[in-house]
Order: sequence, then structure tokens, then C-alpha cells
Amino acid sequence: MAPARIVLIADVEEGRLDPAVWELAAMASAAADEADRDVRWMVLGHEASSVGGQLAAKTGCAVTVVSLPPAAAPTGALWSEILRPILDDWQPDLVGMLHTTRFQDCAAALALALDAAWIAAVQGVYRQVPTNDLVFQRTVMGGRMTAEIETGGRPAVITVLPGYFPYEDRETAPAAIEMRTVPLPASRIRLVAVGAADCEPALKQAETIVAAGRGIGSPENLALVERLAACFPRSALAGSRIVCDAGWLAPNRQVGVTGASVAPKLYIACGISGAHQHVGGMQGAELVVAINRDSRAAIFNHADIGVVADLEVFLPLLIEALEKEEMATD
Amino acid sequence: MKMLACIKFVPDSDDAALPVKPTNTAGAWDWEAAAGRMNRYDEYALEASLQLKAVRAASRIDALTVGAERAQAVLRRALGMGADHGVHIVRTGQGLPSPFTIAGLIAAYAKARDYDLILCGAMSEDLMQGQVGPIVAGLLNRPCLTSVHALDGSAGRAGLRCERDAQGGRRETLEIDLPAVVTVQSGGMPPRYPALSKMLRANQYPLERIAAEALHGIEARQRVVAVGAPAKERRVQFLDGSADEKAHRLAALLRARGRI
Repeated sequence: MAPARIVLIADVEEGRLDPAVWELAAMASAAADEADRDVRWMVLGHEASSVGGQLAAKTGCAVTVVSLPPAAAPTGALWSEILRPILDDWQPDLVGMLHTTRFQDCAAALALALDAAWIAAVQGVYRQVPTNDLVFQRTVMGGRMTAEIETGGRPAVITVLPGYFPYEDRETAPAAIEMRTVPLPASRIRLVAVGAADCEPALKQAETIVAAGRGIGSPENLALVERLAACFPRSALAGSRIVCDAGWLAPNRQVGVTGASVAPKLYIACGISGAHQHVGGMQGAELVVAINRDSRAAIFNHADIGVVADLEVFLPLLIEALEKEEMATD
Repeated sequence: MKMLACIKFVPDSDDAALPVKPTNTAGAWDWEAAAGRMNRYDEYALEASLQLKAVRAASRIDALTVGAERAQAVLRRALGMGADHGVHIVRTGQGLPSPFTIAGLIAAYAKARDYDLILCGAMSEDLMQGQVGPIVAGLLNRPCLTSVHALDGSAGRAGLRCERDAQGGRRETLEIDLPAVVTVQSGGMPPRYPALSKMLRANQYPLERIAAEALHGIEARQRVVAVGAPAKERRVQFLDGSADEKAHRLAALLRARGRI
């Protein structure tokens, strides 16, 4: 007998949950059948019981805690070995995990074991009328289109992109917690070392972030973006993954799913295409200005103010206008 | 060390001919009218295999692509960069294929060929799913590490030491037993540019061609039923006028919002 139709999987890193894990609960609310809102968490890791309590109290969903000895370093290979027999026993319709490297390592193996589909980097989910089948949504082509994906009645393992399922705290009765111990399986992957996160502190403190994407064309044009940032108080310079990978900016200035998540009062995206990898890290900004030569760029779907222009022409004019206005009010 | 580098032929996102809405009324989509090129993440995967080959004696790299006739361009480029052999699994079919279909074909090809390491890009630039590598690993029952940006193969035959950026920017160092599958993230190992002389030689090299139907693939498991315009997360207000007028309007708007 399946203990739940929807199983959400969380893991513990240094005693803490991933801050995005609550979005899985919001995803489950959207995916749950009206008649059957049966959702269960499974949380894995060293000293997982206290975070299991948090999940049960905050979401009201039952929790299964798989507590592991400190020696069990978190890897996707280990999660896969532990989860496969449990999920095989439960046979859920939907398994939700965050789209992180560790869950990407194990999602395919879990899907194959459950004879399920695997849909990656999911950004939306709804039930189709009248079939009641689940439809999963994600963007493609650098964010310029959305694809709707169906599994034809097959169960689905999904990895959920952080930043797309806003979670709201609600009053709820804490749910039951079940503890499990499992024998520690041998793993073909070993975690050797974990280095501290390296994020430029200025990005977290800035009120204005000016970000450069591939559309700036060459590293020489970075000076223009830097001059634009200097027009604003408490500002910082950031870049997309491609700009940081190219060495135009330091890696710790990267904004996006694999870099920093930021929420400044003003975000100016210069030559950024708007792929979900970047947008996932900046959608919390209060006001978003996008400047791009390509009027079809996906970034305009995430912007409040859009300027279609050539950056090399437009940025010097904008800097001049900002500096002039500043002088006028001094 | 015997390696298989999997390479995708993707649409050139800068080509104005790339359609960004359904190309027929049923919500289907194809990009035959647009130019294509080698997926950038796969260039990094191939570069990683070339750097491993340089430190491991008796190494060999097969470059493989699954796609239509014109996808063979990426194999020519891979040979020009230094791959030893090109394998083209010829698959026609429009729209966006399931990652299970593509991974099933790759696994069927790789199954009896004893690769020590299969490499893929961390994702494709067009779909950004990052699924083919892990599914190949699952089908062949091999361990899998996604999004690595450094591979050290000098430690010995049994395994590889890999580095990657995990969630929240933490850097992980992991060891993986061979045979294995890894997917390679951009950044760590900038891909080499093929020399013209090597490209000319690559164009003469015979490719191994296999029809997709001749391989025992697997079921698709999921399908894209429609593509469409993405939801607008915010209501964008486009500024108009000359570049100078737009600059002044934007400066005035930011001032009105108290941002300067």
C-alpha cells in the first residue's frame, strides 16, 4: 500500500535544509489531485530528524526521516541506492526533488527503477481538464519558448528549478514523523572535500545590481557596464554564467541558479538573454530593467522596463543622462 | 582509456531564422530553417576528454552525435579538435525528442563497447535539461557525476577525481569509480579551436553511420505536446524613441523611483 501519491525528497547539508526546499511543497499543492492531497516528505542525511520536524510542522505533510551516520557523505549515488528500494515499495505517482547537481546525479536512476519519466528543470505544473493528467512546463531556447510535457499516465520523477513555485507559510497541524534506518550501501562515488561557498558579499548588500551578459560582446565593453554601476549608490557589478566562465568577471560575481541568488531594489540586465539558469537567481529583484539588442530576448518577460538597443551606443548615453541629472539636482 | 564524448548539434541562438513560436497550428516546432552548431557544453566535455587523453597512455576518443544528416558537422569539428573517430546515429524526426530516446540510442551503441568513461555536456544550450548523460548512466548501471568542471585522471586506473560547484556555490571534490559517466560544465577547461589543417583532414575521415532504427532503443516515456510563448513574469514597458531619448526617459524613470 502506497503511503503517499506524491513524495517530496529533501536532503540535509551541514544540518540545514536547502532554503528552496519549501518550493517543493508549493509544487505539490499545484500537482495534487483535488480528491487526493496525499503528500509525504522523505528527508535524508546526518541528523535529519530535526529538519524532519521542521518539514512536518511547516507543511503539515507526513515525513519519513532516513537518518544516516556522519560518515555517510551526501552524494547522489548514495541517495540513489537508499531511495530506490523505498520508492520501489511505495510506487508513488510523482516524486519531486530540487534541480541540484546531487539530485540530477540520481534522478535518472530513480526514474528507471520506477519505470517513470524524468522531467528536468520544471518551472510549472497543472492538471489538464478533463483528463486530470499532469502537464509539466519548462522553458526552452534560452527562455524564449515554453514546452508542455506529458507522461501519458506514467509516473514522473521531476527535478524542480528553484525560484518558480512561491511558497506561503500557512497555519497547519504538524504531521506525523516516521523514522527509518537503512543499511549503508557501498557507493561508487565518494565525497573527498567541500569548499566554502564563494559569493561576492557586495552582491548580497547592493541596492542596485548591474549585470552583464554575453550580449555585451567583448570584455572591453565591461568598462561601460562598470561605469553604469558607478552611477548608483550602493551598487555592485554582476555577470551571467557565460561572462564569468569566459573570465571577463570573477566567478563569485555570477548571478543565477549556479551562482548567487540576489534581490536588490534595482536590477539592470545588460545583454542578458534570460535563460532560466540566470533568471532563477534574480527574480526577487524589486525593479528589473532589461537592455538588449534582440527584441525577442526572453529577459523581457522578466523585466519591468525594456530597452531594445545596442549597448555600445546606449550605455554611454544612459551614463551621460544619469550623470547630468545628478548634477542638475546637486 | 577508452572514452565516448557525446555531442549535440543545436540551433544557433543568434540566428534570426530560429523560430521562437510553434511552426504549425498543432503547437509543434522545428528549426530546420535555422543554422546549427556544436553545443558549447559539449565542447567542454570533448576538451575534458582530450586533456585526459594527454595524461593517460593508449587513450582513444570516439565522438558521437544523434541527429539528422546535417548534424554530422559537429563530428567533423570534433575530429578537427582531436577526437579519433566519429559516430553518427542518424535520426530524423521533428520537434523536441525525449531525453530517454536519445540516451537509449547512445546506451545501445555504448553497451558492448567497454568505454571507461562517457562524457556529455552539462546540458544542451537549447533545452537546458542535462538529462542524457545521467540516463545513459542509469541504463548502463554506471555511477554518474553531473556538472563537473575539472577532471583529474592521473591518480590511477580505477577512478577519477572531479570538482564541481554544488548548490549555493559550494565547491565539491569527488572521486568516481570507472567505468563512469560525467557531464561537464563550462568554465574549467576552455575548449581548443580546431586548426584549419586538422579540419581539412577531418573532412576526409570516414564517419561510422548507424540508422537509429537499427539500434535497440527504449521508449520515450515523456513527450513535448506543445510549445508556446512563455508566461510574462512582469509586464514590461518598452521605452521608445531614439537611443538618446530612451536614455533620458530611463534616467528620469529611475530618478522618479528614487533609485539615484
